[in-house]
Amino acid sequence: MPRALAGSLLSCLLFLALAATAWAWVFTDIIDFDLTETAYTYGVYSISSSGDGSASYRWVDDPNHTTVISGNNCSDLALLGGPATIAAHDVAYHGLFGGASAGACFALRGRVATGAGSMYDHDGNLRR
Amino acid sequence: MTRARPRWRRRALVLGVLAAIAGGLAASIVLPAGADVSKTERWVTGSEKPDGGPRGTVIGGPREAREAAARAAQKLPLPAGGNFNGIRWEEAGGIFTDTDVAFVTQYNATCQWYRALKDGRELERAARMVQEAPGWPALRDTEPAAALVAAAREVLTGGSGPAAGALLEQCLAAHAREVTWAEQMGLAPST
Repeated sequence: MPRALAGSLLSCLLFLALAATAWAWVFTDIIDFDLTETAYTYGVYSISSSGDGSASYRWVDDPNHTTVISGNNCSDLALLGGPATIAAHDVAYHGLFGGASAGACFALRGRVATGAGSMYDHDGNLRR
Repeated sequence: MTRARPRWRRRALVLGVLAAIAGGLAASIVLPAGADVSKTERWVTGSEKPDGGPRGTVIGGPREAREAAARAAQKLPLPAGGNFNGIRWEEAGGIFTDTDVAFVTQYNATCQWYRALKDGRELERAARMVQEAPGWPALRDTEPAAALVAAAREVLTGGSGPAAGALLEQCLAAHAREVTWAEQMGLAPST
């Protein structure tokens, strides 16, 4: 029993050590990201010091339109990475950009795909 | 002769180990350490965003935003040769509000002062501007203001720490893009 217990404790410590090295993302709910075919800025955010320098976005409630979401640099509005085109009903995270340093500022912008009309009252989540 | 450990104590130890494993799993899979899942967290420009849709008054598309930025350049403190000609309104596309233009121009002005500080241009004024910038109306109370405050503190203590270094790096990269964009638009880039 003591040997088994020591083994369990060791496994537990190893697991916790591995878990501690995982990225600790910062998540922000994006409420009522109402979209038309014209892009606009929902808000401004910064890259966390505990993530991996990337920003990703997902819809948390089933989106009924294809949407285009982007992160743009706060200083010159340059598109960071490529805009994420998220198909209707896709609720997985999509990368907006990566390789940014902690504190890097970006504007979260979005629209629905051309010809898709508009989409109201849908919530998303920003991970960085 | 070894003494047998009481059964309750063995059970407590086993339960403790199981709880620790379960806790580790929960921390790493469900809620990573440091994760913020607050439903109420709302980091938007200025204050709470009341409803969906753009915040502030829509002023138009890229052309109107560029014109508004040119007007802002007459009011905001900029280093000599400073302007907002390199902001990529056209690349971002879509519509912009007065809030958007105020935020982007004030953030861009902050970057111009950090570059001036690095180049040794208007040193005294640049040092003062990087301290004041986080309190400018469109920047204060936003999430990115925290990084500006951290960078300003480092400058105040006489050194370039990680926050100021990272900010300057971003500003230099943005400026390189701005020069290209301004020239493409047939405009003079900022110094």
